[in-house]
Amino acid sequence: MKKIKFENALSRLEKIVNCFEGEELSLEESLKLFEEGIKLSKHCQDKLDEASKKIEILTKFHEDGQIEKEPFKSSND
Amino acid sequence: MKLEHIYTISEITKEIKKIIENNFTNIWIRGEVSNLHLHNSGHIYFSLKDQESHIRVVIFKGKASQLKFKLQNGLNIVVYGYISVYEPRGEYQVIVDYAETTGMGILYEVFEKLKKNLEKKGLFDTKHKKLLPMLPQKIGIITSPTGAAIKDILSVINRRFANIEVLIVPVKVQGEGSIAEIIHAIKILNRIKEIEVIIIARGGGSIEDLWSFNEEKIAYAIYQSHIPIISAIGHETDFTIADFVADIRAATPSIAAEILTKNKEDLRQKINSLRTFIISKTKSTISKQLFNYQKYQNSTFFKRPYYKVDKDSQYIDNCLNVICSRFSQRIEVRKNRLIRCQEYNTFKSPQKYFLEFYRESLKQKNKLIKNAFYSKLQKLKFQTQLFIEKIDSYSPLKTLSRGYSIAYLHPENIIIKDASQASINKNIKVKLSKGEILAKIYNTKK
Repeated sequence: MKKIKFENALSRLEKIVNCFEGEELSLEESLKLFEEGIKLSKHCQDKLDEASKKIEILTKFHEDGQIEKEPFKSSND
Repeated sequence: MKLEHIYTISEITKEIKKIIENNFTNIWIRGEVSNLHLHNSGHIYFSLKDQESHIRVVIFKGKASQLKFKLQNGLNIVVYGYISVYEPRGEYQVIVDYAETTGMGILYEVFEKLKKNLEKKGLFDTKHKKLLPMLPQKIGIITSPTGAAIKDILSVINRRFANIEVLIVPVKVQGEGSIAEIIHAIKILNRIKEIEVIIIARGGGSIEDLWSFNEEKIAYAIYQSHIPIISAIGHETDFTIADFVADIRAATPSIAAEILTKNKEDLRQKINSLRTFIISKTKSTISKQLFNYQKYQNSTFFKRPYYKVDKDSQYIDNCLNVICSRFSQRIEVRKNRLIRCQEYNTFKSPQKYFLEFYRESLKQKNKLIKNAFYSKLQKLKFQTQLFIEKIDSYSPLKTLSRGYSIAYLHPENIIIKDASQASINKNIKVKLSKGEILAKIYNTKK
């Protein structure tokens, strides 16, 4: 679950919802889909909340691809 | 606007100024110069006109010194700039950034030519447009760290509490070296793995200020980027070549930030609603199944699982009862019969019974026989008496006594009743009333 891309998780979640909207599901099926759906939605929520807010500015770029950066302070702050 | 509000002159002028100045920035106007007035201050005032209208124009000192030609009344020129309202007089006028005499204007021509050229080469084709990631976590912003653009973007991010990682690549956004810096920044960000979107941003400015973004090299750098690029250059009315090549054009830097963060908010809501849907659907499925379950549970079968068995066993019991009662009835009948039979002595002691029976019958029969015998005897005695009396009357002896005799063949002792019975010389016996005579037949007469 950890490695599922957000896009894929979301599209699977939408599919599950479609399943629920479609024909009548048996209890087993619906519980199975429910479990998966809740996991996926949790995963998506986690992904949404995952990144912390961070504003940085690039201070140096090395030709080997290494970068140096530091927190950015807007002139207003 | 409130319906019954009465404006003061300055209020209404301010409102008009706001509307005009927001809508007519960075415009090109062509017309004929008239009423030219070169003021001592260095500013130039004149009107531009065509057959029907005229408009007031100002070129301030700084821009006036950059003019590459000499202004004259009657000259056809093209100016680039914006409309402003001069409040003290309530007049609107064109503030010129750039002016030229030839045709449509050199910059405009260059711009159009490059645009057509790049369009032909397919740089603007929608098929090359990359989709923005649904959930960009890390974005790169190519802009001036001190400009208005970055402030606008960050204020949107702050306002929306967006948890997003921003890496600013500081560049010059106009003038000498800006093109190379912007191209380099695009390349740098393309080498940083986590960057998912790039925003190229610049605040509003004159056409010359924005000109770097109309360079062919920048167009190609944007085109070659593997990471989706959002262009956010100038105001809403400003279009640059970069805007046409970029995967998405945001009208302003703020809007670029809105696009990225709004998406996130939308997703949050969407996932919530999907989740809610799944939960409520599952709940309803469960309650439906629960209802079914209870229905079945309440059904006779589950409530009284032995109902059928009970019913059947009751039936069997009934059958058994019937059988038993019939049977016992029969037994009863037979028993009664038996009892009745037993009541007969026969069964108590059959030998004695029969003995008794026969003894009795013997007695009876004995009696009968005795009676019959006596009566018969009596009868016989009586008959005998009669008979004797009769016999007595018929006795030959009596006849004999009356002189008759009886002749017998001798020794056969057969009474001779016919002469033919006797043959000559045959011995005969003659019985007389007293004694007998033996004689011989001498003759017969027939």
